[in-house]
Amino acid sequence: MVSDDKLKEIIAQVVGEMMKDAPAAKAPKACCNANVENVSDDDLEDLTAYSLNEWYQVPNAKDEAEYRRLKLTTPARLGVWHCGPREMTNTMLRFRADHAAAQDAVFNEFPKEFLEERGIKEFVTRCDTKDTYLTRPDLGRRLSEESAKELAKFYSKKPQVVVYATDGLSGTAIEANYDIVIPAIMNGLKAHGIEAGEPFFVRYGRVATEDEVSEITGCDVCVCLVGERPGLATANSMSAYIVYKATIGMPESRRTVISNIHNAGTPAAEAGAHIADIVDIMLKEKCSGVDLKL
Amino acid sequence: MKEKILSVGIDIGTSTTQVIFSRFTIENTSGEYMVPRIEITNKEIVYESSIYITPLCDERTIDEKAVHDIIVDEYKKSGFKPEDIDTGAVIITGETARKENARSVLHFMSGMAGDFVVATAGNDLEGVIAGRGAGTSSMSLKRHVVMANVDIGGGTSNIAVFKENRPVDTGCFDIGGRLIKLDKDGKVLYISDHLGKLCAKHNINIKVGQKLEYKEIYKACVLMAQVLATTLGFKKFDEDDLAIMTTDHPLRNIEDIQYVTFSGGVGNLIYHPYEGAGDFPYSDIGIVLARAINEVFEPFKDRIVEPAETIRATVIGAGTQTMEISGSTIAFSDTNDFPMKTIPVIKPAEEEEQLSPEEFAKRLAPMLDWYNDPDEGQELVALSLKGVKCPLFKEIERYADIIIAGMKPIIESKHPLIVIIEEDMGKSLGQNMMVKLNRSKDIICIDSVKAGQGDYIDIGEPLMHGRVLPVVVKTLVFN
Repeated sequence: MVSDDKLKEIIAQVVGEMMKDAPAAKAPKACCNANVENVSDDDLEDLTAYSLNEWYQVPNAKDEAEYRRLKLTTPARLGVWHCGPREMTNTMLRFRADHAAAQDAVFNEFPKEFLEERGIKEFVTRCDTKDTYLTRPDLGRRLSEESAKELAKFYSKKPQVVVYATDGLSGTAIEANYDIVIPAIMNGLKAHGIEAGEPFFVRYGRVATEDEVSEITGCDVCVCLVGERPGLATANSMSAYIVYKATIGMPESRRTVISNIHNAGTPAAEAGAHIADIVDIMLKEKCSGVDLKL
Repeated sequence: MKEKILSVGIDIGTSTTQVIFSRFTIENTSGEYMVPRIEITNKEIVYESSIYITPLCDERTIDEKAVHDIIVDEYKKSGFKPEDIDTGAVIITGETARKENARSVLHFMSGMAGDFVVATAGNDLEGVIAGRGAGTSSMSLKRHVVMANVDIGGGTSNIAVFKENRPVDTGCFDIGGRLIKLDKDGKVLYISDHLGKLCAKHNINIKVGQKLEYKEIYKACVLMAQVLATTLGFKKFDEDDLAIMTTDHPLRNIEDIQYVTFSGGVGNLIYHPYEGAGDFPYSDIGIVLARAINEVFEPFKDRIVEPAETIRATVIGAGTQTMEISGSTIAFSDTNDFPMKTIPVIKPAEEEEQLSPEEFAKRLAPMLDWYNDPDEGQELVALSLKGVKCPLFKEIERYADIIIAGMKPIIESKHPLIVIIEEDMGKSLGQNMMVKLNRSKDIICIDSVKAGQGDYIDIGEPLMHGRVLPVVVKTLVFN
């Protein structure tokens, strides 16, 4: 039998060794402070501040450098280590934080202030609340009667190209990318000598809302920037659905899509420039979607 | 969508001449619904020539006519015509490159081998090309180690050091299998100046016209092997010997070299020792040199690795490893006249990219001035920058502003404005500059390509419906 003292000694030794090999910078510190009263937010570590590619907690790995290189290729939660059969507390908290970010992206209202600060005109679909939007896809595909009337008067002359953003399933994605992707598209169109109408925002919009937008404005090409359904890796991913002379009820195959626009995917500025090139090709080829060979 | 392009590699070395043809497959590896990512997905060698002894008129001159006949004959055998070739490189290596007629041979070859062909020679680049062709470069990435390749040909040993598939150091020595040539009776016909000096210093008795003694030449070869061990940092021998045998410069020893590979004709003999009769079956000292290297490197046996290619390393490097393709989101005016060859690159320090347009222009002015000829005016120069990851649009605009301010002499000249940026921002930056210059200036703005100060680049005709540009970065200087 091992005596209590001997056992304590072994535990102290093991813990000591673990502390010695504690993960280096860029990974969160192990959380072991049990007293959480009277702690201000500033003193708490922001677990979401770490890139998952650098979140590495395996002690004494045979080849840490190789493991870290592997981690650079995926945002999956590899090498986060464990405590008995469970994940570490910080891993669980980070998972919950990422999940909460995804939930927020879907359920939060797109902030009015964002639009007011930039002087962006807002339209709305036939949905009156976020709940209606989520449960009634059909209503999200059409503009409200009032918005339809207003959009008809929005442009003084028929724009050749309309570019607009809609919250879709992640308003967060629009907030993250709008200021980069919109000027990049507008600049790219200018480089091709193409005139585009002033961009606007549609609340509670779905991709197919662009069909009615196209019909009302009479534009040749419509670019709809929409927040993608968020996952645990990012809530900032945005897509662009680009279509030539869309009509309500047309087949989905007529849309050309560029997805995965976010910092870990295609950078917004390059995506915007690429979208401008696609618009230019569509105007020349007079088609979009599967008909358009890029 | 796949595109195939044909590449030729021609190596005219001091001792051998070889030709290979290879086919590259280029395709978009990204999904239909994403921004394209165009990559070279396969490189296949479709034809390998025999290995010819390089025809020389005398010690100093390549026999142009005979080399011409070899190449023409190999084209015929391969079934390819010069007009089928999209890219490739002709390399005149070793001592031969310093000979008077090298330039005219190169000139003649580039006509033979398609339009977009690099015609170049230079010790640093040759070393890098051989190391890539041998497979040492890719091995450094696969094993995550610092590896050197020593390409030992007839006249020179070109060393290139690789880390994570990138060259980090080069050096060149006048060490090779043909520094001494013998007649059929074993008498010395020729000895190189450098080896002559080395022998004189160590009282090794080798003279033109005398019969070559094995014992004497073996001593000289051991000294040369020791020079290689010294520069690689394996063991310090005589520094004066190193100086005598250095062509331009030894390795700078920036990185600790963990492993070494040998390529070239002598390299091959290091792994596969000659077992036939006699010590000089090729009327030169290649076999003896390989034996001496094996002896000197015996204590470091664990650090010697056999590369994928030895004797064909340079020609395979020339044919398959010189071209890369730009990033897939780039911008260029369609009025540009491709291909463009041997464009000098200027690269300001990375922190200078943060300066105001006026300050940036001040820093760039002397670099541009270097290429401003009083008679010819401003020469064509490409600007290479680091850029930023995932830039905000105002960053793009700021970069466009500093480039336009800094490259004013180019913008006002007849030359196109060429910008090479490392981070993925080429298309938006290019479009922004086009707008800022009222779409009236030819622009080429490519990304995902690294080019340093003092490098030269070639830009070929657009591929994949104009999505990407093939680029050859010729790195001549390592710092």
